[in-house]
Amino acid sequence: MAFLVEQEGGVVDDVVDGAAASGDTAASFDAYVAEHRNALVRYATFLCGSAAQADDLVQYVLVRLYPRWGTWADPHPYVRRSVTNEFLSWRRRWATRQVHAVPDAALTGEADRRAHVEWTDEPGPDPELWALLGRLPRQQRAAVVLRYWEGLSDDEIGAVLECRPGTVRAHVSRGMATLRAGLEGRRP
Amino acid sequence: MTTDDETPDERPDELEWRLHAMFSGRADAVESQLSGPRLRARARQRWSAVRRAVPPLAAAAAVAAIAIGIAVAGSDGGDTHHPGPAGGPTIGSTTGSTSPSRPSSVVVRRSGTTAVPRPSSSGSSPALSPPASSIPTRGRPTHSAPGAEPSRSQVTGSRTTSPTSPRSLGRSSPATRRS
Repeated sequence: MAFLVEQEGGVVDDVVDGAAASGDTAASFDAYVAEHRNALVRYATFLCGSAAQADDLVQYVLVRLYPRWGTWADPHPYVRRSVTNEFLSWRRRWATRQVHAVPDAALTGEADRRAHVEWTDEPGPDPELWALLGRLPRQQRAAVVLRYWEGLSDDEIGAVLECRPGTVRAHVSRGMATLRAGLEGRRP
Repeated sequence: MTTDDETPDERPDELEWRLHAMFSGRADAVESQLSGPRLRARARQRWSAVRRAVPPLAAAAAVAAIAIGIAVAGSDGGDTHHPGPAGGPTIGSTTGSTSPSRPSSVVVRRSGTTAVPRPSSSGSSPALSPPASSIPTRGRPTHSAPGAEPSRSQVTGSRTTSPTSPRSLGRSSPATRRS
């Protein structure tokens, strides 16, 4: 028996029969993880700033979704949305589980300290822009990553962030303005 | 207008280009970390652990739910233990008492106002005769005639069985019961 589930944001997913055989479910889960895990960890890394934390975040989400695996015809949008939601509510739950080394410079201001709690200065290209990205509010950062890395439209980003397309455009615009201002302020 | 319709200048293209370049470069770095042999083995180990852990947890939850259901159902039916209707008429029935009593092997027939127990075929059995100390003596003598087996309720001192008429109560004594 197939049925439809309407998600917030107007996205309607085809949902197939949830009574899939456990062997098929496990095989489908394995295939999905083998195909999409790296992409999910990359996306989560751009959200939370650390590949190790992104790996934990993706694993946490997949473990939560595994008992219901086989419910979605195309699980990737739902998994990506779950990763994003977990990241957005991440600090509240994970702050009690993880010990972070806070640099002295981050203790000068509350905003900087909060940003450094979850953002790490991992080596890579363009560290200046990377650090600025880490200082964006989480909603704006997620919108920027979804737009310029995942290449999603406003409607798709709205479905992921559970907000309206106008709000998505505002998040992206304000995030880009903040990045631009930060780059201009650091230019000699 | 709001910030939704901001007019782009030349710099957003440069910023977008830098974002794309940064994301691509860091994605390659993450990819190299994820594709390392050690991390790949670690990932395999973690996922196999996940797949081993989730089904037993679901099974344990199902067993716990069934156990709780059985416990709840048992508590509903076990609090009040009512005897079934298989038991014969009780002594209490002769006095109009509606209190239920457990089934007894002693069948009491009503004869006038005095309940006369049916004598057993073997007469009074010493083994079944209760000791004097076990007979309730709280001012509530029983109706048993000599040679009659005491009912179970009399032996155990249960108060669920009502005595017979007041006249029979006055005449009975422990001495007659011990015969």
